[in-house]
Amino acid sequence: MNCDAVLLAVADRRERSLSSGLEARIDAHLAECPSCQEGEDALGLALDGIHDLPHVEGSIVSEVLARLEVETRGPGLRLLFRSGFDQRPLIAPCLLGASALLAAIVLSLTFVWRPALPSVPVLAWLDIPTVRERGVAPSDLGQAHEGNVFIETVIGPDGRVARMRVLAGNGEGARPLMAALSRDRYDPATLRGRPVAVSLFRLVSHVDVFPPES
Amino acid sequence: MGARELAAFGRAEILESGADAGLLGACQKGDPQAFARLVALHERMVLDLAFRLVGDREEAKDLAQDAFLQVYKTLGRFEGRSSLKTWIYRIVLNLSRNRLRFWKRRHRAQSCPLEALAPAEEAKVSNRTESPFDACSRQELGARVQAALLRLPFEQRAILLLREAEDLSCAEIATSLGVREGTVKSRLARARDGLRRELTGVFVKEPAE
Repeated sequence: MNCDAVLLAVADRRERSLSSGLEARIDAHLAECPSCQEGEDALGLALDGIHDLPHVEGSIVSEVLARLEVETRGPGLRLLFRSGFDQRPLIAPCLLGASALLAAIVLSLTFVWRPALPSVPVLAWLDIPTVRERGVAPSDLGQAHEGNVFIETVIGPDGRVARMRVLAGNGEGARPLMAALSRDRYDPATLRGRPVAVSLFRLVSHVDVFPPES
Repeated sequence: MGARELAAFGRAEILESGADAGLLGACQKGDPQAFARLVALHERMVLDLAFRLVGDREEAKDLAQDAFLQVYKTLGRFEGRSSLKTWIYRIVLNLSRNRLRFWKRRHRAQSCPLEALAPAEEAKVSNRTESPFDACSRQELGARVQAALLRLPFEQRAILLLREAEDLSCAEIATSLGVREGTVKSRLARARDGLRRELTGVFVKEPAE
């Protein structure tokens, strides 16, 4: 046997896993070879030394349990007492992104979609017609019957009464009143500075009042 | 849940002992006291193995804590195909390998643990029946063996420690490392040879009286 084979086999020899014949040949070689003897001694001391290696003193049970408690504990009451930002940490970036997206949509619609606007706006400031010349005389009112009359009056752009009709009430009794009202002259209503025709709706109440009998 | 019930679920075919099986069942139910007993039962072997693998006491304690936490978290996945002890060894080996890689990237070799600078640990007399000379020789031998072990490749060092210090069989080591038994045997032979080469000429044999 050469030295390399012997040195590889000495560990197995320590474990008693070699045949008796092979062990005898190794023993014979070791007795004659001081170099292999030194190697076997070194290996023996080293393997014995492994058993005598220093140990780590102390127990880690409490440390492991403490770490286990910390790592398995849920967030508990901290969940309830979080700040608003902690509860929704992504709210700020989400809002910023949503705002940017909305602004982009509005801007693109403004530039791309331009609907044809009507030449005359639907809504405009209308000046109410005012009476310029009153055509009603007190005698006309005296002839009226007692009661309520709801009247529509159409006033033309020239300020004259173009049409008058009774919508509710005693039309026959209100005839003298309507004849008097139709004589009124108005400053016409204006839209964007131009005189226009408008309808006026009026509720006229008439009560006969008599002096007390002496 | 006892061993019989575990076996009924197709798990724990091979468990080391009834005590381990009962303990394992209680741990799987989330009983912290049972887990504390499991840690107390295995902490010595885990601490020693971690220390011999990484060569630093504080690192070993930290690593052992990580190992037990991992044991707790993955206990539900333990299928009982190997013994609990072998399974824990495997976790310690994987964590140690990862930790050494982590430190290698951060040039751990250039730093020095605090305990190496404090002679108080060495000054303690652990065994009062031992003479100061014997204690000193033993410590020196231990330091040299530890240094030689740390120079071996990690896989060889792990196999050598599991075989010589923990007395595991080659089959158990193969299970722990996830390699074939033949690989374990060849690496074990290389590890022994490497250790012998490292220490040949270092020890002076005392002459017989």
